[in-house]
Amino acid sequence: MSISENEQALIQQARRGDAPALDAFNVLVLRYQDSVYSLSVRIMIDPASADDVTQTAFITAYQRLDTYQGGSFKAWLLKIAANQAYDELRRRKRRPSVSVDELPGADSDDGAPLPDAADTPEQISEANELQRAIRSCIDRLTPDYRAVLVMCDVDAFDYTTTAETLGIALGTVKSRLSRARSNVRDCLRGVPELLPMQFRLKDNGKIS
Amino acid sequence: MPDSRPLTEFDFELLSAYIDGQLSDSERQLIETRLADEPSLSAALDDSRATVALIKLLPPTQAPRNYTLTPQMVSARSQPAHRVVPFAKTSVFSALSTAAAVVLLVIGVSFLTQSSDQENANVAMLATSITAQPFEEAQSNARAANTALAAPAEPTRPISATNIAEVDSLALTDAAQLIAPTQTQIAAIAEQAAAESLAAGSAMQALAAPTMTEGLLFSTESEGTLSPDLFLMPPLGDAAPDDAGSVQDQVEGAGGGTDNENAFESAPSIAQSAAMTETPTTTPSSTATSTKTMTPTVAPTQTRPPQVAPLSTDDTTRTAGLVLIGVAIVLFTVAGVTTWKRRSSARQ
Repeated sequence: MSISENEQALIQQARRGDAPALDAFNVLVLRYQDSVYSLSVRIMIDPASADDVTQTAFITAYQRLDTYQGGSFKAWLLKIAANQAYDELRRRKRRPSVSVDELPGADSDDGAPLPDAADTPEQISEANELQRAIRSCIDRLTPDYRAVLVMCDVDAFDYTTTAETLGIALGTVKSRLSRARSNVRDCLRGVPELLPMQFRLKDNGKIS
Repeated sequence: MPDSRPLTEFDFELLSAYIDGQLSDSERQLIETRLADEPSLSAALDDSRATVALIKLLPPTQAPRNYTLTPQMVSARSQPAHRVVPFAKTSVFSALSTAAAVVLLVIGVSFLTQSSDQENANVAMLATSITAQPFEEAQSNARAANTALAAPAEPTRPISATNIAEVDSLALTDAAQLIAPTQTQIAAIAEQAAAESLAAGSAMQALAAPTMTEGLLFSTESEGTLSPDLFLMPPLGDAAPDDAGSVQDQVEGAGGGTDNENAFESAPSIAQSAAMTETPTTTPSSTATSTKTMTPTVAPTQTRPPQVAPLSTDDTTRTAGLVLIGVAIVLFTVAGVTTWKRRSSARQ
């Protein structure tokens, strides 16, 4: 039985709603929780919020399993997680507990990332400074651009799946991805010493 | 030289899609042709590729824990029916608001309609009072005068002149024409009035009543057919458009003692002017018009008409109607906003 066939069987089993159904669904949770959390933390930045979003996304997915109509189950799960994350960001904007300028991605055009003492334990534990720099550059994007970049370049989804998952047009995926890449490129130019020789960026190709 | 062209946002979008193999064949051929000719575009492509490669170096984030579900999690979150929804957010509230708004709207509109009808009635009453008042004053003047057949002095301007009264005055000229052939009767009544003031008053009132009725009817009937000439009376007719006050003035002139006869002699001339102005648009014979309209109607001045109909009740009704319509609009808005909010939250 292929993974896809196995996945569909688990979904059918999970739809029954009894105790074994929950077990079947938990197999799917374990399979996709990294991807769901990855997208959540890229949108939310804050690991605690991402943790909340991830858990809520799986609960919502289980309760709405009847609305799954085939296709990539992973993309369906990510769509639910992305919606949960955006809803949470909207709620925070309506009732901001901090300044709007301090919201994630509010300063996407800032310069190179500096060592940040306020980094999360997960980020501090990153051995590779380059990865930290890249993460920091991505985190400075606005949530909309960040989600597209993570789905296309980190999770390697194609444009169509990304558009369907995030509920945006294909052209929007293209333009957001292009701009997100340009912003990350400009951001990484600020830390040339961290970049490997083969990835050294030239100081040209600026957008007019 | 093509290389000198600065790169645009669209160029970077094409390069980004080109890296991911998301361009159409024609777009891909176009960008490859340009890449061969434009070193800056080629350098930008290298930078974009390096950036994407750097981002792809990032390992997928690991979940910090397992997110497996427990029966408690599912049951706790799967009972939305336990949520307490405020009544103001329910569909019942929207429906009740809409129903109340419709009822208030209907009542408000009916109030306004009543107000409009009442206003029309008030205009009619006002016209009646304007036309009736001079005759009552004439009646008292006649009681004071022993000789009612004295000629009037030069016609004087009326006390009040409104458009409605001007139209009605044309009817009064008809009335004057009617009065003229019965001068002797009037004189007799006036003389009797000198002796028996109350009896004479009743007689004059009875005589005046049909003419007032006719005046009202005439003004109603001919309102749409009167030519503008009627409102631009020639000098001869100056006495005619003088509203009922002109008759009053003429009778008042009788009080002067010298012009009493002319006051009633002027009646035919007034009637003539009325006939002149009336002929092109109404009937050829003003007498025919008079006899046609004066007979069947009960004179409204048999009972004393109000001087000016009070409008306060009318205003109150209109205000109440407007307030009800306003409240209905507010309720409509509240119901609409509630429904919209409920649907948008359901979508989420």
